[in-house]
Amino acid sequence: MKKRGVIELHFNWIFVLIAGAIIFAFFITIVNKQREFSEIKSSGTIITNLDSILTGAQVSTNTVNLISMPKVDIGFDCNRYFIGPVPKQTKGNVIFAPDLLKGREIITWALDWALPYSVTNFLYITDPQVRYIIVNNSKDLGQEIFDELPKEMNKELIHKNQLNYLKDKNNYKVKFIFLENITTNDGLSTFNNMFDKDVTAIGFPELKDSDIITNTGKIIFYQKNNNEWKEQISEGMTETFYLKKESLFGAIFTADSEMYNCVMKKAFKKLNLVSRIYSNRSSELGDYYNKLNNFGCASAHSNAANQINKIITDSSKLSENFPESDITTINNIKTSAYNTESGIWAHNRNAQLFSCALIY
Amino acid sequence: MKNRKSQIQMGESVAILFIFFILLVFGFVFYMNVMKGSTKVEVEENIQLKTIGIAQRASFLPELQCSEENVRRENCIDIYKLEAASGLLKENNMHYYDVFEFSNIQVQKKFPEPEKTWPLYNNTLTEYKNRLSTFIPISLFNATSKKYDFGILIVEVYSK
Repeated sequence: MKKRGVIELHFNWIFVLIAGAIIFAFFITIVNKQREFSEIKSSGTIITNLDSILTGAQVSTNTVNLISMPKVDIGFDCNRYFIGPVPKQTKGNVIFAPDLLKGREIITWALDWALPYSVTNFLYITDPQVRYIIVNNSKDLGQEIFDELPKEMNKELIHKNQLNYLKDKNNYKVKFIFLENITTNDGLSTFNNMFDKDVTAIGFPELKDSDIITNTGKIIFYQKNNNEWKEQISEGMTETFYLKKESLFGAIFTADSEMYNCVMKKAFKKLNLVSRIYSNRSSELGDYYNKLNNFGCASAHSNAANQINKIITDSSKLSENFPESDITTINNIKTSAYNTESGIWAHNRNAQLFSCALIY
Repeated sequence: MKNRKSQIQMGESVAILFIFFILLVFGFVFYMNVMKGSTKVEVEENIQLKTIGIAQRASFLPELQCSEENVRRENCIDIYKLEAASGLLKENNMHYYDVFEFSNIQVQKKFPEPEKTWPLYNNTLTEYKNRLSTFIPISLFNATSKKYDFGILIVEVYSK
């Protein structure tokens, strides 16, 4: 009798235990699923809103927007950006950004990339928590770059001899901008507590003694390697190039040389497509003016079409192989666009003088 | 006697648990239906946002926009660029898919007559759930006559 009571009591406890475990597991599963679902949902909502914001920011050039965000990490690569597990294509947009943004605010800045006709708007994205340190050159060009960058950015201008006096301000990323080849590791030990990948630098060797931002030039990307700078290698090369100051700014904003080169390939693809339209247009207009025996306008347009065709060839090469081993192709594009005698810019001026339809 | 009482007690417990789980399942199904409804509204909002984005991108396309000394004019399309772009967008469908996704974009000249249509991009879905159209009034600039016609940029976005 006593023994049966004990078994009954045990059985009740086992029953309660199993039923309780099932109920418990059921609720845990629901809560977990719900958490995953709401994470994906909120990431999706943020990414959709961000996409609209980026589209808006991109179509309005020369504008800076400071956008408040929920506390989420936004990852960027060349063709996509991510919030949590949700990726979104950049959709042919040319976006220069660090690989990771962590702040509650993001800064967007759009500039028109024109060669000499408008090709696309470059969109630059950063975060006020990312620190940019511009190391000035002897001709005070750093001041010009400092002034051109949005005032909302966390930027500072220093001289080379001030590098050792820098303080770590607990930023999650620090980027140095040197207007020369980097020849010193001064100041780097200040950031010993940071991961190597979070302390990067770029050098513009040709701007060492320059008081203007030249239209084309070399860029070298560096990354901290303990207490020294190490050149980054992309596509087997340590050097890459910029074409006009908009792409120089792109190098300041991008995470590394690989991302910069990839974004620039997209920009050259766009240059190729837009140039084909201008070439077609100028050929049509050249034929039109020829029929009217208006040879001034006809030659302005047909000469321009020749130069544009050169840009088409060069941009096609660069959209596949950027950066090439040297700057020749980049310089060719610059010449076709801006040469004061034979460039598209000069032919546009002639078209204006002859009161014909403009080239761009 | 005692054995039977326990069995009845046991049966009661199982029945309570059964009803409890049934109520739980009902609650869950109800909750899921409410969630599904709100997700549907959100998906529709996203489709509308996507449509606006694509229309915005189409109307600010440098391949089409009028410009003078590289100063772009909003809501204005250069007819000579339009003629060239009409073929180019078709040739580079893959590249422009990234920009315009599943959509049909065309420009229609409305005034003066005769009316004319330039198809720009056509990548539509055969089976679709939504088709949202945006009509943007635009000027069509003729660079040689320096005259403006009136037209409409039509952007139809398809989604499943």
